Amino acid sequence: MKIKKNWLLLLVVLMAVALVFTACASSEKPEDTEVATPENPVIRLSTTTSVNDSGLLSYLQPYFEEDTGYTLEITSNGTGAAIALGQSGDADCLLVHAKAAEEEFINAGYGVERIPFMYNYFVIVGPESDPAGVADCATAAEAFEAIANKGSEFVSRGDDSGTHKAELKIWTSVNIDPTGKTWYVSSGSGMGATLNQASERLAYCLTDKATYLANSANLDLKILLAESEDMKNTYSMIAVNPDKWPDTNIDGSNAFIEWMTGDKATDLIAEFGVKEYSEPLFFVIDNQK
Amino acid sequence: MEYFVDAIKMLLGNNSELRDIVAVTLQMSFFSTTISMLIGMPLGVLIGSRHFVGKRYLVRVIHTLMGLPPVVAGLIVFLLLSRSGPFGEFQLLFSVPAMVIAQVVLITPIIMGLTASITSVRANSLLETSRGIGIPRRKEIGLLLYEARIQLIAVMMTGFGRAISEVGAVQIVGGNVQFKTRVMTTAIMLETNKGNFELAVALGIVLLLISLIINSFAQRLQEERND
Amino acid sequence: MTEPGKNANDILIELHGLQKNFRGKKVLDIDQLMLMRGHRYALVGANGSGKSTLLKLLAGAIKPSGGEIVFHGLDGDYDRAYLPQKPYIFSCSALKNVTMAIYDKNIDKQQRLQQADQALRMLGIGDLAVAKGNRLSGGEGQRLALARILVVPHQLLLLDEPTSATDIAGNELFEEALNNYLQQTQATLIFATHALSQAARLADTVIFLDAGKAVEQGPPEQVLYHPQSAGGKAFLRFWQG
Repeated sequence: MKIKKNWLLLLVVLMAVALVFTACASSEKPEDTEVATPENPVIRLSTTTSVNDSGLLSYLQPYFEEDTGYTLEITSNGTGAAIALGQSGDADCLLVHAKAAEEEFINAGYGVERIPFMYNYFVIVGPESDPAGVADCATAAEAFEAIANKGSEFVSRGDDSGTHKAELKIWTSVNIDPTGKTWYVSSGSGMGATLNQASERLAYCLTDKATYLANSANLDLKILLAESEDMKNTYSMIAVNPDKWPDTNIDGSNAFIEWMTGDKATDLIAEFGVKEYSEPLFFVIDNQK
Repeated sequence: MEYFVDAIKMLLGNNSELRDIVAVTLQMSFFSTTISMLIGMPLGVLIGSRHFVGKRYLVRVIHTLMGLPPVVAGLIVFLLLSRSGPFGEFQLLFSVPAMVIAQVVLITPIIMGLTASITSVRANSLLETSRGIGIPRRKEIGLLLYEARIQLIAVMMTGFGRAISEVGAVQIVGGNVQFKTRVMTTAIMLETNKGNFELAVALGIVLLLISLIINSFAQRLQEERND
Repeated sequence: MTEPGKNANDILIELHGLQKNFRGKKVLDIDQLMLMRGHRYALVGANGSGKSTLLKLLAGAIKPSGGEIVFHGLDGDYDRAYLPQKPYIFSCSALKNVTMAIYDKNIDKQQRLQQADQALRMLGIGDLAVAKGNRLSGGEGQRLALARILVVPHQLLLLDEPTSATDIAGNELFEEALNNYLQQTQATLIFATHALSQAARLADTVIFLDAGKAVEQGPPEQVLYHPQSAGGKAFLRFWQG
């Protein structure tokens, strides 16, 4: 009997604590917004996991929200799903990096305009021993050929993501179809999980630099080839076409795009990651006007 | 509906990848259920039928493990099998055996706990009787299992259902490698992530169909045994 | 009442200060009791008087909370046979239920089946040999449980209300079979019953239990017809044997 009572008491205390916390959390919301809140204050931004994992958006978000009064709701999925959310009207704005898929999206009338605003480079990572000699190659194409010729294991995202599409483009450029080859492992996973597999297998992998750097402490992988022109990775924003989905927040999307290409965001992006990795993770494209 | 037709066509047609995925799924679910039963049922019978010091605590631990989050099980097995982990030398990570190990960690407590509670219902009466007529003690576990066989078929199906529908642990330790460790659930996740919702739905229907077929078999078995 | 050639002073079981508690409540408290080889004991008493508890203790199904039970020459696994109040009937066929109880390795399969079949017939359920155990009625199940006990020659039979569910015909068959069995095997019988006339017919000694204590012991005509204790008088006042 006594024990039962004690349990009950514990439960009550726990619930009370939970209540207090939720109360605190709700009162912490800033109420003194200097900028007038727009009519439709929520922007649903759909982006890819790799962008989200880099931390860039959560770094920019508070500045943007403070400057404009909008609230950013970010969902991150694989590139295919990220774009599909725009197609089904479940997002107002896209931030992705898969040129062909983006153009298809716009041609089908779902997007207003493709606005490339920053880029970085994919890198090829692999074991320090580098059996295929990737470090001695000049371009990603050369490196891929070397890997295929040597038959060294290569772990692919295999998930139709921007990174996967960039990788396939390189294979196509050297006329190699790696599908089904014993050395070609299609992981069907996100970037982090794919890097993990490559590390466990001591295999090569094409990755964006940000995800690699963020996880490098736990990986037995080194950057073997970087900043080759055929590994350039361009990020764009696309506002979802209000002609297709009248409910979308086109004003919000435009405000977001405008802010992201403005001077303040440009400076912020250029600074991002410098402190931690002593080099920028993203480069702003300067030819906006 | 057309997705459904497409899915059936894929299954019957030349789509070796889908058949590959179904085969890996069945293989993994079969082995993990079988191994979990071989471990969980005899131990469950022992726990359900014996009185011993600390039984209450053991049962509590098992019941907690029955609700073990799959991703936690996956993470533990991942760390154990990782190249830098204690069993890294066996190079089991991202293989079907790795998925089976993670599933066994998940399913064995479920089978053990359910078997124990099923057994405990009749254990006292059965053991009093069997000892009363001098049936050797070594036969007791077998007798208890035999007498519970109809309910144990349901337990087996619970285990199999868990194995075939699990996604978190197999994604972590299996790695969703095409042609090797990709199963129905991780394939559905992948296709959803790609935005291929049609294919994802089709795969989901196939998964449900497999479950339906296997459950029908189990039900037939139960009814036969019940006669 | 002992069989010829049997030593009437041959003690089979001694109970010394035997106690059993359930959840802090004393349910059995027997100071001293001697049970003789070859005798037939009936345990009588009200519900909760400790009959079942005593049988369970003698069967080894539960352990005493205090005191001791000394057996003389009951070392083999099969010397004691115990029939619980609600015996478990295995879900296999009735015949298989009985053959399961035959432990002797020297008996081949054909003989086993024959013996089991005979035991079932003896209790009037020979026609149920192929019926599944879990499909039998309460009375049929009890007869089957008795057949399972009587198919093997044991030295001590511990039966807890063996005919609580059987009909009159079943009782008759059981008593006949039991008498034959005891004659052939010279076994000792200890049974609990609420059927006092059955106690009078089958037992040579009646032990009257009252609130966990063995308050009276003697031949049926004494204990059942001329009880000395207040408890015995109260218990038997409704019975006009």
